[in-house]
Amino acid sequence: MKASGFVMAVLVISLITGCEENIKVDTATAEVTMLFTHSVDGNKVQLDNLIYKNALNQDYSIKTIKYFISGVRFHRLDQPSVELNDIHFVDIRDTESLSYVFEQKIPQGAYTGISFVYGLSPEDNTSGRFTQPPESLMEWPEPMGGGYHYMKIEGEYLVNGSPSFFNFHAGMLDGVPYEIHIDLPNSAFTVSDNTLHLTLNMEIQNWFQNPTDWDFEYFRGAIMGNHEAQKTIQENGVDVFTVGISDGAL
Amino acid sequence: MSNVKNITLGFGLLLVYAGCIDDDIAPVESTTPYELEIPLGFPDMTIPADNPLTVEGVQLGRKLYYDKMLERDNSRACATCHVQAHSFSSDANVLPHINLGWSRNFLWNSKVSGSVEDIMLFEVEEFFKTDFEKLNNDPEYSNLFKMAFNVDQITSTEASYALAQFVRTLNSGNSKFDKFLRGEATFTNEEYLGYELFYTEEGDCFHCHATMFFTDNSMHNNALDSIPDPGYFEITGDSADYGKFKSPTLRNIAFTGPYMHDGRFNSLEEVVDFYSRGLERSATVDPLMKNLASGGIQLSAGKKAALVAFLKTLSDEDFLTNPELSDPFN
Repeated sequence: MKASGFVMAVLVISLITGCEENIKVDTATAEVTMLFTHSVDGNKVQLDNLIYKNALNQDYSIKTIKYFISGVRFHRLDQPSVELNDIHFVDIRDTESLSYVFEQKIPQGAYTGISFVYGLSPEDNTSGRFTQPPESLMEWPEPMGGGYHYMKIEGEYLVNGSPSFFNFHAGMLDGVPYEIHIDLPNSAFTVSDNTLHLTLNMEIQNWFQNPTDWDFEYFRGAIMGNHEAQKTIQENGVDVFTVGISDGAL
Repeated sequence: MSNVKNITLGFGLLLVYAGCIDDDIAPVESTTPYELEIPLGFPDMTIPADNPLTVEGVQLGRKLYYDKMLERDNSRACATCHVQAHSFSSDANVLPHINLGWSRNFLWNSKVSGSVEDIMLFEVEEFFKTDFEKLNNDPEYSNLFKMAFNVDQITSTEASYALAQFVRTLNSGNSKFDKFLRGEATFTNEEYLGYELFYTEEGDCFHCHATMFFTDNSMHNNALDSIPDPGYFEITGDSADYGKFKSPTLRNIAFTGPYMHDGRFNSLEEVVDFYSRGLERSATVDPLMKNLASGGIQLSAGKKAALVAFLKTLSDEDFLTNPELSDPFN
């Protein structure tokens, strides 16, 4: 009977651990939720509205914003940093994609900062990695090196009063990686609750300035095959993202 | 003691199993699983748990697909407009029935979204308005449905499930392009130039005709008209969707003309001419049409010919003549 009791105990444990839906309770960790917001000059972006001006005083609108973030890392003092392995795809027109709960939790405690990869690191950026839309639709064609777009921003700009489309598409070109390893400013925090909420904001205007003022008429609509454009995006993108942090329920 | 252990073990395993599975309809036990061949390079196909492919279901679906009895007045079958030699398309200007197992949006204006079962249910109930009394009174169909789905009464559900099973076998992925990717074929210089045009922003076909399926299954206004047809607007009622239509697959495109949602172009050359110089502005043109201001991608005659040559490498002759997909009544 002792043996059967042992078997029963094992099976009960199996039942408890065998289903994905079961939740492990661990008070020493925090679940990380990231919200994604997008602004122009500090105000929430208004899509399909030709109301923005870049640093060169060129009018433009935004119609599409899609991008990957990956390699989110939480840095700690005198301890190894914690990296989350998730790759998340954001589409401003897909509300569900604007909030993401990371699969892995982080230990509670003090952190000195947050970093992440805008786009995909070369080791993550391999053709065929994503088989299902919407991620698969970010593919970057093989004749241009393969892998995936890091980002697609699309809209219109005015040339002599007439609108033209621009496709601000970024990615690894001909094997040259242009992802950005971003150290978020003002991102030290202490988490003492079992939830951590991060709000990652993309300031779109910053893609078009600092250090290089983006000239729509110079780069025009198609830039995927243009190394100069990809390099400019990489350099301008360093200060595009900021983060807001709160622990506990929002 | 060992009996107690065995009972405990059995009960325990039952608990573990029952605690995890979904409450889907169990497949008919007497059926034979159908081994679906997925073309190399294609992702796995998601098949609903309540409609697994079986030999009986696929055969029944094939028979239904080619049977005019499906239409209330016996005038048309699926295959009347979806002809194998035309990649299950035709000059009736319907979208080809190929690789639909990976699609979630169906028909030019995406009137139906969901699974293959959903679009087949639409076809049976709304398009054909199938008379099920007729099917139920047919001894052969009664027997085939009994074997495939273990039902005594045939309804639109079983008919759509059988059709969906057959449609999931209509997979085309063995063209010269596929062989090129696998290192089994080489492109001519002209085809290779077309391949480069297709996959760079000079031609910029790849954004909408994306992935191994050569479609993003999404809705776009591709600048056909200054006053476009309603398209997706008819479904959503959103003015932002006016003039949008589903990107068709380009696989077997040489056999699926005429082209565009209204069949206005009879040849691939006309289609490429349109994208080269014929774009028209309207309020909802997709920003991917970034050469709109200049009327198109402005290809030279040689490059237009190269693009057409590449498009013809997407033809899968084996698929177009595969006897397992052909009319079973012949």
